[in-house]
Amino acid sequence: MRGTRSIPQSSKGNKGRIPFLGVGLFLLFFVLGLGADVIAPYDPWERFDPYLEPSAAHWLGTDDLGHDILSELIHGSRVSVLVGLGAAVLATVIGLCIGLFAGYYKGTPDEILMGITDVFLMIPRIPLVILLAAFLKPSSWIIALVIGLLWWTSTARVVRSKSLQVSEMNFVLSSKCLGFSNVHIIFTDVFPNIIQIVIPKFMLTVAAAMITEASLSFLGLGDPSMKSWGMMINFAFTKGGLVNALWWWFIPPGLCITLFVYAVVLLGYSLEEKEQTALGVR
Amino acid sequence: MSCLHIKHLTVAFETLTGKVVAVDDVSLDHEKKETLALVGETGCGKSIIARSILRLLPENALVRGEIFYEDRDLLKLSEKELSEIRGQEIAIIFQNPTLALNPVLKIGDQILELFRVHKRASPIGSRDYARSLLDRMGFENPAHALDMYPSQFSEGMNQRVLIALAIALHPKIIIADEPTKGLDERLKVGILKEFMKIKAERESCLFLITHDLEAAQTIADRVALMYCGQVVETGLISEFFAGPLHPYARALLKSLPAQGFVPIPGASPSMISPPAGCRFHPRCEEKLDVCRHEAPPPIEKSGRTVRCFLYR
Repeated sequence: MRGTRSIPQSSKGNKGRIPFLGVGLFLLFFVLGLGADVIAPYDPWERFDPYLEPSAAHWLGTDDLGHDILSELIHGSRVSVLVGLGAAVLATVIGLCIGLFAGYYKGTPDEILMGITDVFLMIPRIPLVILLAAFLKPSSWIIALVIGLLWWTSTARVVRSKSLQVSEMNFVLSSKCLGFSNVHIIFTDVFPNIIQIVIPKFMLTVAAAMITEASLSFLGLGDPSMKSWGMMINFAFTKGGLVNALWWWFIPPGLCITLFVYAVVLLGYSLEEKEQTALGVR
Repeated sequence: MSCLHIKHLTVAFETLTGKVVAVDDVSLDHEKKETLALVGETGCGKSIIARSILRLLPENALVRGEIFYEDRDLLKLSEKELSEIRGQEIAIIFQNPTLALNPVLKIGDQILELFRVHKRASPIGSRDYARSLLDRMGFENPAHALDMYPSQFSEGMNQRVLIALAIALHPKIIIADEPTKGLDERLKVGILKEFMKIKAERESCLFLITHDLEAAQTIADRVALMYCGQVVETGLISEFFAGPLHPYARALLKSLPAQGFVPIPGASPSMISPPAGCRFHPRCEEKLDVCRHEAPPPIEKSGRTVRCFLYR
């Protein structure tokens, strides 16, 4: 995807192309999630006849309890997107801070912070999340928190190595000479120079968090009171949707997960590209 | 009245190949409103002195001695006290201007940052001041320049931005580390003129570090010549060029294109194992026997200081 980019004519004229597909899909799910109460044709808990095929009244049919699947899907986007974004924000903030400070201060602080990162890196994450999800109250927020607290390690490492490189550059020294404090330099001089690697990393974390949430829900460890896309696939699986080939039940949520993750990744790449154009790298 | 007083400064580095004494017992007095040029060949320790004034050396540097700025020893201040001095009292301009600016921030933001942090000034008022600063630095369209990135500017333009940054808070001392390195002749003259103008306007003192004797001659009041980590001669610039005392100074002036282009015999000594006695003796044409095993102390001679036994 990145290899096919053309070289911008001038650093001023080309601000990086906007991937309309990525932005469009992202906004679509965002609006669906925000306005679920208005947009969804029915209350997702309202019961109709079960196992209805798609029709004019129920565009995507109904499930075993007679819930309208389109309404479930629209309400599910709220949960899935919030869990994905929430977990990724948490993970990125933790990873960013640890990486920035480790790379800037070097020496002992670096050893300690990277030691902690290595410990977290060794933890088998999926089994731990499964365990925690099983023992704690099954709630989407707890799942988001746990994912956020476990998925920051690779961000921290990438940020640290870039921070090491950036903090050796001359402008960091010259900022020091202008009397800025270390923390100020970290956030105004080092951070803007690594943002272009943090954004794609953030987007990939969103994708990973959503897929993890979907997997957990699929395994039945999700929050049954909140209809996420993963939960829908889980119900379709356990209540015979898959066996009976009721495609309108399990394909839409799967497709939604795929499309949203795709949109997020597209956005990540285009933001990275824009950053590089501003830098004059390409 | 001196504004910067360096006393017996010694800077050494522990390296794998041995201890390198990069600066050996240097004492300098920098008078108020004066331009002092620290001249010497590459690797003689000029930049190390500049960096030790603001304590910018890496952690493996062993610094001894005292650097007094207004009765305070800079080497003993805490990091916090030092950050009050950096930029506001003492500013430094580095070589390679493009690398000294943050590539992802606009020029304007980098200048405004200074006022925001040090003066807690509102962005609107300081933007006008930033524009006037760039205007003074000879930018044709300063308002436009504030919205540019360093990569869109030439080396010379970035150099002027750095000077603007350095003088923005009216520092009392401006340290310029090779400000003319890598610039073409026309830009060099422009930058030097700029320095003279600023110095006259702001009444600050300028500490110019250069290997360029002609640049030093153009703008400096006093000169300190370094050789292999030591200051071998100090004096007024006019006296220095009219009659250099140290044999190295004489040889150096003779090597200038305008004065005969005569090379100094031999090579610069290694800083890891400098020659015993006077460090210049292996290349000196006027050496005495005592030069081989005894290091000459700084000797006062009619207001000038020279490290050479010829003047004992």
